[in-house]
Amino acid sequence: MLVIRRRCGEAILIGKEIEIQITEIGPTRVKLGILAPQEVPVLRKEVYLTREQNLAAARDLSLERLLELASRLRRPHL
Amino acid sequence: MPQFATKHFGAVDYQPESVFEFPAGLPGFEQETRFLPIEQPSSYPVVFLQSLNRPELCFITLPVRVVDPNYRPAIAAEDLQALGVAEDRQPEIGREVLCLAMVSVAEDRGPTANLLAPVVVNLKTRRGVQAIQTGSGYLHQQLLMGASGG
Repeated sequence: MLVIRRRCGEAILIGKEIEIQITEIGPTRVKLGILAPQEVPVLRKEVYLTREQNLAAARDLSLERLLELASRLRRPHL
Repeated sequence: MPQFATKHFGAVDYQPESVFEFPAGLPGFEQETRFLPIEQPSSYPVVFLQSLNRPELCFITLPVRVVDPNYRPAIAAEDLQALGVAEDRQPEIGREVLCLAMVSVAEDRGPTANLLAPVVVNLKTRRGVQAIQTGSGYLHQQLLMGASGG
C-alpha cells in the first residue's frame, strides 16, 4: 500500500481526474473532499461491503442447508 | 388477512401491522422497502426477511446476540434518528429494537453474518434501517460459531 503524509489543505491526485483533498483533521477523524468524474462511484467502504454482503445474502441457499445451519446454531440457553 | 407468496414457505397469511418498513431500502436493494419477518420452529433461531415486493427475495438473518452474546450496537446518530428512538444513547436490544445480522454463505467458506451493519427495527413503529456502524470493530463477514464444524 502506498502511504503518503499530507497536511490539512493539501491534496493527492489519482490519475488525472480524481482529486482527494484533506479539508479538516480532528483528533480521531479526517474530513476529505473528493473530486471525481460522475461515472466513478465514491462510497464509504462499509457501505460497499454491506451492499456486497446483501447481494451475496440474496443468493440461493437451499432450505436443506439452511435447516442444517439452524440446527447447529440452536442452543438451549438462547 | 392478506396473503403473500414467499420463497420458502408457499403462501403465508400475515398481519399488515407485522410488516417491517425500511424507508431507504437496504444497500443494494434500495427499492425494497417492505419486508415480512418469518420465524419457523424448524429453523429457529433464524429470522427470515421476506420481501413483499419480490417473492424470490428472502434474506436469512440471525439475532445479533445469537452470533455474539456480548454484541453491543454502535448505531450512528442519523440512524437512531431514522429509527425514531432516543439519539443520546444506544437502544436496548429486544426491548426497544430488534437487531438482526444478515447471513450469507460463500462457496469457499462457512456461513457468515454481517455484524458491521445489522438490520435494526424499532419494535414500536416497525420502522427499520440497516445501520452501517463505522468504526465499530465488528466484521462484515463474521464466521458463525458452531456452524462451521461437522
